[in-house]
Amino acid sequence: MQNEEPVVQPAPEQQAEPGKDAEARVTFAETEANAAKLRAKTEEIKVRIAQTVRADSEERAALTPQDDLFELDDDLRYGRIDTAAVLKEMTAEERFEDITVVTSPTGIVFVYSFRHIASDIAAAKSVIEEAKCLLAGVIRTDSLEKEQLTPLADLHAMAAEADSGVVDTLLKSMQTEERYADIKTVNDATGALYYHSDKYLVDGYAATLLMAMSGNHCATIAETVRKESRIYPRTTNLAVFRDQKVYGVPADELDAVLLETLRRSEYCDIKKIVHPQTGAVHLYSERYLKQDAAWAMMDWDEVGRANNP
Amino acid sequence: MSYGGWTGKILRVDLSTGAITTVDTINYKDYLGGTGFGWKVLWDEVPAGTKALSKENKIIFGVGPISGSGAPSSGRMVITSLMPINKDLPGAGHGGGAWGPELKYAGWDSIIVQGQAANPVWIKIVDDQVTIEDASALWGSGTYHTTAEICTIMGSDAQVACIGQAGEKLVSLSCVINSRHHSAGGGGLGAVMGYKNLKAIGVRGTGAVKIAADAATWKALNYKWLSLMGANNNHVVPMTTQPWAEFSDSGSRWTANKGLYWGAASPPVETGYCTDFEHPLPKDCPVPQNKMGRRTHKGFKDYGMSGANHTVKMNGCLHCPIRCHISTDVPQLEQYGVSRYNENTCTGNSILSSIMTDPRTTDSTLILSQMSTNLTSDYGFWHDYSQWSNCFNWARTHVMTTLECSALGLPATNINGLPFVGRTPFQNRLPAAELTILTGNSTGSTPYTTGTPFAKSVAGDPSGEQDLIKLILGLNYITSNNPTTTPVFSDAVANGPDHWATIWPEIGYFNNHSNASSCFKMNHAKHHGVESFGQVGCLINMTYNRDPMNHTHQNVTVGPPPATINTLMKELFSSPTAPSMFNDPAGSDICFLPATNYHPVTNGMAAFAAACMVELELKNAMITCDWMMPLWLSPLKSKGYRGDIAFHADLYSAVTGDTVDTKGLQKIGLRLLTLFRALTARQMDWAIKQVDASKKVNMRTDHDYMNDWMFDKVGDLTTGPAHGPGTGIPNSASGNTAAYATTAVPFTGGTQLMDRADMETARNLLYAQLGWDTATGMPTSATLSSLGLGYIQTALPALIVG
Repeated sequence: MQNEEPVVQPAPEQQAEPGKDAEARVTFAETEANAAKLRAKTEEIKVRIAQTVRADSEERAALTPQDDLFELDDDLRYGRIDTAAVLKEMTAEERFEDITVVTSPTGIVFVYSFRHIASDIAAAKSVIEEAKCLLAGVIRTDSLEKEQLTPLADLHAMAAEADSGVVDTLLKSMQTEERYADIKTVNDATGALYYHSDKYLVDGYAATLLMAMSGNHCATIAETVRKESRIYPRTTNLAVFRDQKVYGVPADELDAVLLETLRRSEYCDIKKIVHPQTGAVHLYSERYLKQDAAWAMMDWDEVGRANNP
Repeated sequence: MSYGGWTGKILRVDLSTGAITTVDTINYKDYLGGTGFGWKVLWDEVPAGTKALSKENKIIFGVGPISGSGAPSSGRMVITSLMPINKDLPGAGHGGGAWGPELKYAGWDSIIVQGQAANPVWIKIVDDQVTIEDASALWGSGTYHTTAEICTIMGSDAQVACIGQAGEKLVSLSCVINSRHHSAGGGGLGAVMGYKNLKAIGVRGTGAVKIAADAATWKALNYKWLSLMGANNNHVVPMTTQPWAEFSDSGSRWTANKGLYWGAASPPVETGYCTDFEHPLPKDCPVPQNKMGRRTHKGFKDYGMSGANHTVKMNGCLHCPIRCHISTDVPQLEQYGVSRYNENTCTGNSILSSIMTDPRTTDSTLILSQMSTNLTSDYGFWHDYSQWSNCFNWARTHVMTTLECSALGLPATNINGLPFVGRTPFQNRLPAAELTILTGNSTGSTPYTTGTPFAKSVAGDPSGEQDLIKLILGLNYITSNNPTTTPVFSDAVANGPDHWATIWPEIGYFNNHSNASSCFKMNHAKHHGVESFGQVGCLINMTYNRDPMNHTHQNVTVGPPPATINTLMKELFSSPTAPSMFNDPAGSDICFLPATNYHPVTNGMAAFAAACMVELELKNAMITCDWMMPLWLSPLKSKGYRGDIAFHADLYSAVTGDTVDTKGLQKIGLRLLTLFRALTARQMDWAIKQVDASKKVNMRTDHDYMNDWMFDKVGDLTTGPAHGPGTGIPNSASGNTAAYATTAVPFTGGTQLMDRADMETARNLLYAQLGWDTATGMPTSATLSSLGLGYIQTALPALIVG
């Protein structure tokens, strides 16, 4: 044994340190050294913010949304350094005197360099940017809360008094902007245009919604099974079409739809297998999965995984 | 100690002398904490050949520098010792709850318990005040009563780790329980405490953990950590198709969904969509991390709607946002005199219910499992990830054939003078008196007499579990006011499959040859073995002395498509620019699914397996949760589902102030794994020399093997080398049909059948990654030197090659 000493057993009244917070379970090293490191990183980030904002302003004549600055560094993303506080500091520093903040009527904060964008132009741009935000907001809300696609007509209706071309122009410009990269379009079989936010309603889900809207349940089943067999690959438990409403297959029609799917020549790659122990029905596309592999995958899903928790 | 994280002192309690002393943590800093401290203490202080149940053995209750820091998933603790369950080899048990952090708040980095008390005792720790208390009044009671009594003395905020009757009876299937249902299993560590007459350790701390970083840095690091976390097992995609998620996986424990409730909460709580950080929902108040605790609904995952309806909430360890323990309310249990409120997860819920026949009536699975949880937590009974119950069910139901009895060389008649052939192992091995208690008739024949333990087991009567646990532990089983026990039955079934196989060779035969056994090697269970990336799972399972309790590889088996996972793991472990010290620069594949065919082993798989093992050592030393870390995947679509391999190093650096990078931390982990390897080799070498002093252990052949059932097909004429009673028997000789079909071909058709030559290659590749010698499976001299383990070569010169 090395360096062993008898345990000190203080009297009970010596246990608590005067003034110590009984709930404090951790202490931090708020040292000069740590503060200096944080300060240095903050200075580095200021320079990068200025570079980004000036580039946006000069090269694209575009305002930079404050929220986009989080992408510059994990310290901004995860809150070690507060973006708003840094911007405030920058406005007081001569080397960043051109970096200016403009806030839209609904509170969206943009940053720009007045060397490249005049303040009145910036204010006008902020209004346009705000309109884009509103359009994106409607699409995102539909995707997130209603779990549905947004018809173009709904967006036109937002500006009923204006030429629908204005809305179209805004939507078109949004397609090239990183902050609206999640706004996607899909067309149904008739060519009708729908919008969705891929952030809240991903492309695959949108495609499934379109299929459900078409009412061609056989195609819904076949395409879903093909996708699962191709991408993962894995078999598809028939129960998902009954349990998950997104597929739009009426539960009482599922058996008949399955029979029809398996019968039709355009879906001849879709195969049905039944697990001998659980009785579960699985489907797969033999375009992408061989029978023995499909059976092994089904067996793993039905009993293998449960036996290996 | 100038570093953050550690308290700076380790507590040593000698139960023989009553001496209570401290050790400076700085002496062990190179081993981090937890099992790292444990391996080092065992190496330094416990001589080769020491028995697990002896005064000379030591048991180390460990935490690490991260414990108590409040970092996510850092609430666990480990217990390290020689294990009685498997030839007195070193091993560890891992427990959740809140005991570990409390030990840090009391000011201790670990506790070394040694010696043996003359009478039952418990250790009371209140900060620096440490005393050995009389436990006579607690001896014989379960963990619930023990915990309640100690908390009455110490205060309700004390944390208590204790044993039940299983540990007191010194059975190998015993564990240590804290926080009512958090168990540290690990091969009979309860019995190690029991042998030392140590009933419990109660801890209450009022101190704090010092973090070397400033608050802003620490907060950002924690927020980053949270953003990279998925659900339990770090499953990073939801179980069902959800609009916000690009992928889903039916195997995922990210079960939260609209319309899915904690049904027994008052009022019921809807889990809803619990999105990742890139998809904040309007009602996330104010950010998604506030709902992380709802992501994992194990009540539903494990028991379907029955489980969902009886789930009060999901619970878990202190400081963990991922709640993986199901808190249930099952009123039906009250008729059996046990609490309706219980809590556990996964196989912790099925220790006894897995030897019951489930009638599959309403809630029956849940009732049987929660009865099991209630009893096994109270008695402190552990199972080895189901191998024990597999043996039990086989011993009760398998009728021995002529070929089997012949191949095993069994005598013509059993203990009761009846033919071996045509009877089950229990019928053959248990005395008539014990069979009468268990089954109601002296030959153990079916149908069993109604009301007997085996009859209840077959009928799925939950009270059967109450009867069986007493008989298994050798406790009095009262029938018709006639206290009685079943000592032969108890000795066989309560001490684990290795002991069982030693005294009943047919159990060894089952473990080694039957694909129903799920035994990996040395009669211990596989745990995410061949089914988890094939050779990767096998290499991991063959390295440990119990079921490996390593989820590092398993945690990436569920998530985005396997091709994506393969790409991401190759970036880390199979690339010219990989950040890991374990790497295949040639860029071979790592991950695949059985259904798309296993592949012959690659160097990338070996690098991945090596990294997984080293990562486990780091998790158990720092301590972070094996079921969540490392964050090699994340739910973040914007990052292509990448996690952050540097995160463990960043975390360690922030807490301790001891700055390391990924490779630097991996090197520390390799040090711990290599020390564990040397400990195992030293103990095995001693045992081999007791039989033949001229021989020495060869870890490759004596330790790193796999049971035959993973290689053999029905009717095979050959088999692998023998490794104990009942092994090395070709299927053609025993007529074994619990094997792969004769048509199975490795690496084709979705089979999990493995190939012996390929696994030899796998060993070669793994050893090369770890710096271990190909022929002996031991670390080379150069490896030991580079890891600061030169003392191992000094101690074991005959086992180390240049």
